[in-house]
Amino acid sequence: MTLRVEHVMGIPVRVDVRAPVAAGVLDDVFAWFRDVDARFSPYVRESAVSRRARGEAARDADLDAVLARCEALRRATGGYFDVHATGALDPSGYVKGWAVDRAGALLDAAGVARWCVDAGGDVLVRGGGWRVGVRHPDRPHALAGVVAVDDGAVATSGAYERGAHVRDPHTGCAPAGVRSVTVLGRELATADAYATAAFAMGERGPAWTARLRGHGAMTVLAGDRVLATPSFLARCPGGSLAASLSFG
Amino acid sequence: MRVGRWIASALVAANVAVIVALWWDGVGTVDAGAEVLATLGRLTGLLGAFVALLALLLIGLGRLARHHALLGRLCLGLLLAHVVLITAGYTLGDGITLWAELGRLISGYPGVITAIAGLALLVVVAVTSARAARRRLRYETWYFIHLYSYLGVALAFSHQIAAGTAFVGRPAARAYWIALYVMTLGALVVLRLGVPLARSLYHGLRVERVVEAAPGVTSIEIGGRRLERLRARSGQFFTWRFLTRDRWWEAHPFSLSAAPDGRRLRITVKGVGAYTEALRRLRPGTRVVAEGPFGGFTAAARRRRRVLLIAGGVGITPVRALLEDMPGMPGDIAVVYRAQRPDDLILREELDELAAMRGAELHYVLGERDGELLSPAHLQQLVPDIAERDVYVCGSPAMTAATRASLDRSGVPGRHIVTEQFAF
Amino acid sequence: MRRALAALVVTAVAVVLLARYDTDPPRTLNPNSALRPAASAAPAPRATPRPGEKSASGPVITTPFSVIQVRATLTRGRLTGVETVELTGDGPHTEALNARAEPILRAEALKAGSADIDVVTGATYTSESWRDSLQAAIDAAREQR
Repeated sequence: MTLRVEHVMGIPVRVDVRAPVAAGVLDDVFAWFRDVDARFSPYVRESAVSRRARGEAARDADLDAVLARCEALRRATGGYFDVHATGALDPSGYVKGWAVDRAGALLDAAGVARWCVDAGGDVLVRGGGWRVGVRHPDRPHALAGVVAVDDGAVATSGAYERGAHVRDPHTGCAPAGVRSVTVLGRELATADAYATAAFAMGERGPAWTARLRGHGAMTVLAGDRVLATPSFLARCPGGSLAASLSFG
Repeated sequence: MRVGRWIASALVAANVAVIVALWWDGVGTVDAGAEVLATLGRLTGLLGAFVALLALLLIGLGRLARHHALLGRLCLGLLLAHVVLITAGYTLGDGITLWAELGRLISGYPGVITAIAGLALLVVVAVTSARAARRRLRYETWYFIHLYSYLGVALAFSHQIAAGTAFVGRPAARAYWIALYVMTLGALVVLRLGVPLARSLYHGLRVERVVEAAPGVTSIEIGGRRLERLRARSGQFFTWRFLTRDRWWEAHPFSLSAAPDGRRLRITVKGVGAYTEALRRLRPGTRVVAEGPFGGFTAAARRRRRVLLIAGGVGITPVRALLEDMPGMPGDIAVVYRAQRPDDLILREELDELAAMRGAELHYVLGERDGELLSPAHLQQLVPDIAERDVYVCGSPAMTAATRASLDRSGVPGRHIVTEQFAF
Repeated sequence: MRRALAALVVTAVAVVLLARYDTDPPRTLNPNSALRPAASAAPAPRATPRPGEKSASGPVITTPFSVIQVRATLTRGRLTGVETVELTGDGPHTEALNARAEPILRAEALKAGSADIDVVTGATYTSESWRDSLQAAIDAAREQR
C-alpha cells in the first residue's frame, strides 16, 4: 500500500498502489513524468513542444505521435478538441492524459496488480474495485455521484477550478450552459480529449457524448440538471447518481 | 472522340467523389449495428439517384441500349438496397415492428410516399423491359411504360431534399443536389427537345420518298436544306421522330442505309412490329425530328489498308452505307452478310451493284444458328487474310458477341475490331 | 391513343394526390431521451421593436449540428442585446431528423452528497488548490487509519 504524490507539470500527480510493488518502480514512474514535463511543457523554452511551436526543428518521435493523435481527435470531435485553438501549439491537455497512460503501462510492465494514477483529477485505474467520486461543481468537498471502475479512465472537464480556460475553438467563447463533463473510457488521453471537446460544445455536448463508442459520460448543466449516458449510469452503484451517494 | 470519353468519365468520377464526401460528412460516430445499416442506406440512396440521372442523360446522348440496360439495373439495385437498408436500420434502431416503422417513415417524413411511388414506377419499367415481358407486350406499350422512368426519377426528388441527412442544415450540399437535377433536366430539354426541334426547322427535315425495297422492307428518304451541316457520316445513326398524328411521341434509332450526300438521308426499316410497319404508310411531307448523328461505326476508325465488314440481319444498313463511300481500292473491302433465310436479305441488289463497282468481295452466309457459320475456320475460308484487316461487325448483341469471339480466335487484334450493336 | 390519354390522366391525378399528402414529424421514440425536440426551435422574435432600437444580423455560421446566426440589438447606438438564432431550415421536420439521430440520455437532478471513495475526479486542479481539496482530505484520512 503506497501513495506517492509529486508536483509535476504544475499539478499534483498521485500514484496510489494497492498491491505489492518492487522498489524503484515508483521512482521510474515519476522520472517519466518529469521527462514528459521537460519535453512537452510549453512553458519550458527548450522543450520539444516550444521549439516546434516556434517552427524550429525538434526531433521527437513521441511528439509526432502525440500531434498525430491530436489531429485525429480534432477530426473526431468536429474541431472541438484543437491543440491550436489558442493560436499557439499547446498539446498539454492531451499530453497529461497520455503521460498517465504511459505511466500505467510502466506499472503494468512491472507487474503491479492494482494501482491508480491521478493527475490533478483525471484518473486511470487498474486492478478492480476502485470507487471514483465525481466532484460537485459548486461545493468542493461534496460529490455529485460515484462510479465504480475496474480498469479504465475517468476524466473531467469543467470551469470551476481554473475558470474559463476551455473555449469553443470555433467561436473563441467559453461554452454556455454547461458546468462539467465527466467521461469514462479505456484510456485517459482520449477520455480527457472527449471530455474537453464535449465541454466546449456546451449544451450540444450531451448528445454528442451519447454517440461515442466505448465511452460513457455525464454532463452537469446549468440549472442543476445532469444528463448521463446509460453506459455511465451502469457504473454508478445503485444505477443512478443519486443512488450512488449517501446523504446526511 | 476518345478525349470526350475521358472527360465524361472524369466528370462522373468527380461527381461520385462529391456525393460520397457529402455522405461521409454526415456520418457521425457510428456505434450500433442499426446505425450502420441506415448509414449505408443513405449512401445507396444518393448513388442510386445519381445513376438514375446518368441513365436518363446517356439516352439523350445517343448511347445505345447496352450501356443503358446496365445503368438501369445498377440504379434499381442501389435504390432497392437503399429502401431495405434504411427500413431495416430504422426498425432496429427504434425497436418497433417493421410495419410500424414503414408507417412511421411514410407518415413522418416528407416526400417518402411519393418516392415509394416513384420507385414502384421504376420497378415496373424494369420488369417490363425483361425479355420475357417484352415478348408479350406490344412495342408501343413497352415504350409508353418506359417513358414513365422520367416521372419515377422526378417523384423521388422531394424526399431527397427534404429528408436526406446529407442535406438537412447543409445549404451547400442542397444547392449541389438541386444543381445536379436542374442541369440534367436542362441537358435533356436541350438535347432531346430543343436542338432536334430547332434543327428540324432549320433544315426543313421532311419525308421525301417512301419506297418498298422488298416485301416488308421500307426505305425512307428524308430531305431538307443544307443537310451537309448535320455532319453525318456513313455508319452513323439518328434517333428519328416522325411527326404523324399518332406516332409523334415515339423516337427510334435507325442507321443511315446510304451514304449521306447532302441531299437526303436514307434509312431502311424492316417491318417487325407495329411501329416499323406503320412507317410504310408514312406520307411524304411529314416533318421529321432527328437527334444525332451518333455512333463511331465509321470510316474514321480505320487503321489498316484492308477492311472486312460483317453484318447480321438488319445490321446490314450501316454496312451498306459504308460500302458506298468507305475508302478502299478494289480488293481492299470485303463484306460478309449473315442472315437466317434468303428472305431476310435486304438491299440485295444495291449491295451487289456496289460490290461490283468497288471491286469488293461480297459473301452471303445463310443458315440457321449454327456453330460452324462464322466460326474462325469459316471466316478464314471466306477471308484468308482476315488477321490483317480492320473488321467491322454490326448485328444483334448475340451475333456481335459470337462474331467477336470468333475474330479473337482468328487472330484479329482487339483494336482493329469496330462493333455496333442493334438492340432495343 | 385513348388508352394512353386515360393513363396520363390517372397519372396526373395520382401525382397531385401524392403531393398533397401531409406528413407529421415523428415524435422522438426514445422514451429515455431528455432532449426535447423543441429545444432547438428558434426563439420568438420580439414583436415590436422599442423606439431607438435597431437590430442587425451577423453572418450565418455553420456548426456540425445546425446553422446559426447571431443577431445584435442596438439601442441608441449601444449594444444592448445579443441573441443566437437557430436557422434550422425546415422547422419541425429538421428537428425530427435531428431528433431521429438523437441518442439516449437520462436526466437527473444534481444532488450533493458524500461517499466512501478512493479518488476524486474533477476539473483539473493545480498544486495550490489541491492542498485544500477533497482528495487531500481523503488521503489524509487514509493515512491516519
